[in-house]
Amino acid sequence: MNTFKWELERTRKLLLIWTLAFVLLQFMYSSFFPSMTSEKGGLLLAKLDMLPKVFLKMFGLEYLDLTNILHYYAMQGQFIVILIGSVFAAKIGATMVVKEENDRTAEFLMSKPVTRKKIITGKLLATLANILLFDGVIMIANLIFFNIYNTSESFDFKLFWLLSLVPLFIHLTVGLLSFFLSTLQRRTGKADMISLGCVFTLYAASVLAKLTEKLDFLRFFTPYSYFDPSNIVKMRSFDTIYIVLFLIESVGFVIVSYMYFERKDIYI
Amino acid sequence: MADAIFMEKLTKYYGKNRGIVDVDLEVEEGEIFGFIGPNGAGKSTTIRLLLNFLYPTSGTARIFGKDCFRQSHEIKELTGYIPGEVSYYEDVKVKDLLEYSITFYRGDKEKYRKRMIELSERFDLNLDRKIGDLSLGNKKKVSVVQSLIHEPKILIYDEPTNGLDPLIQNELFDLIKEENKRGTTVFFSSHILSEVQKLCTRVAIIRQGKIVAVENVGNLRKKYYKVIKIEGDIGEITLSGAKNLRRVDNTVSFLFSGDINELISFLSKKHIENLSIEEPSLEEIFMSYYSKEEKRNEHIQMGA
Repeated sequence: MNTFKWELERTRKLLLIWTLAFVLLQFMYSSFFPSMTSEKGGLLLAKLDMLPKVFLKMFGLEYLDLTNILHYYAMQGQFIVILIGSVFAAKIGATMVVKEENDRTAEFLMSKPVTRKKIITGKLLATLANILLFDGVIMIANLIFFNIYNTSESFDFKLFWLLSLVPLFIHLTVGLLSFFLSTLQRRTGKADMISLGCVFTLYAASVLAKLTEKLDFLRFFTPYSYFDPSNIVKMRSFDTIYIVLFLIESVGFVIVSYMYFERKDIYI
Repeated sequence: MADAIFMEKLTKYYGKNRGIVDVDLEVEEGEIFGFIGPNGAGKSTTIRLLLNFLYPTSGTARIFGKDCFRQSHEIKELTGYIPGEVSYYEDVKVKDLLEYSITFYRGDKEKYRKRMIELSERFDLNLDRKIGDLSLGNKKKVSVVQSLIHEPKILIYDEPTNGLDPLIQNELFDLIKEENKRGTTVFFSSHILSEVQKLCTRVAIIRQGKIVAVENVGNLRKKYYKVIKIEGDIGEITLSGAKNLRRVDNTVSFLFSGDINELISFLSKKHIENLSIEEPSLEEIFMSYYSKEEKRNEHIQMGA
């Protein structure tokens, strides 16, 4: 697994910066929480109630009790983790394969005694490891910060884990999609752009699915709908069909990545 | 014994663009085989097929009897490769890259590490420099070292002298000869004829994606000619082996493929102001040397 190790070393810096930034962000959000439950915060809640229903729906505020730190997180902090974290996942996935061709290092790598399958396996594992570490560290940081700043006696661990898996699952889907797209491309810039385009399109689709009944079917096509924090707060569980879709898609992206790269002409 | 390299009807089209067409080549084990042709003729395409960066449109290729497109990773255990243009991971040290390279090969890693140090010293390569900071020539040295660490049985070098200064070029040629003495087969592409002549036993000439000739270097030299330019008061040229005579004012130029001694004794009797004797360019060689073949091919094409 020398390629895996090599890739981890190459992405280490990026991973470190992104993870650190998000841990700080989580700290910020968590430390604001006590002021939410204070009197002034209560006022804000009252104001929120007056907002139009559609508005609340769009931001996923319908069923949230903002005096609960997990709800508070599901409403605000998590949105950033999910969406901006997706940018990280897309970036990691999108460059993982294509960078060899873009930087013309493919010539070195492919002249070594290693099968294309193994190259993809190493890079795939590196992508997964990056996303797991990124979301894993945020998860642990949250667990700590939430328990420090929680104002109520109880802490709903089940909901915490469910919510923590949300960004992980979404990032895995996005990362693997980008990884696949990366095997199709020859230039890093283009792969980046396409992957980011996909992230925001998928996200927009999830918002549209929520807001417009006619477009409700879109929720089956975007991971942002599969794992919607406000829904999960309401249901306290994942929907089986979404889990199945997530698995099918992830495995699907992996399989097509292998298939495509195996037959690809590498131009240098 | 199996050929070191064997290609049969190897063809590669990039969409509609020609890469190479029906290339047949056999390289014997233990020889230094030159592969020459102008830029864009298909040298790199051929090599990239051999290493399975590309898949062929049709045809077969084998190295030591192994299929280039199905057993490529086994073949690479035995090959050392230098690309035409060297690019490596910019942010790592030379040492890290070479160590990474070593991890791919089976065999004694300690021995490879020793060899890495030996070769780097020989080429005066600093292992602790970052690759991004290296000059083109130094990057090329990295690729030379990288291609030899694992003691390959065949070297596939795509224009290896590109970007190397003459001193290092000689060092490389010496090394290639040494390796060859130990039985290593060398497949060497270049667009510089003299370079190939210095080193190779046989050459294949590729042009517009097709092999136009496979020759012993000795034969090539016999048919090989010089471009002569003379300024001065020269009368009739009465040399056998001079052709394409051209006269502008008092400058005479012609192609000469006869006995050099004859040329010298002829010139010694003339009053000459200036003289140049040049190697012909590859294109010039193709024009004279292969003009017959081309005409024949054209006929075939027109007939078809």
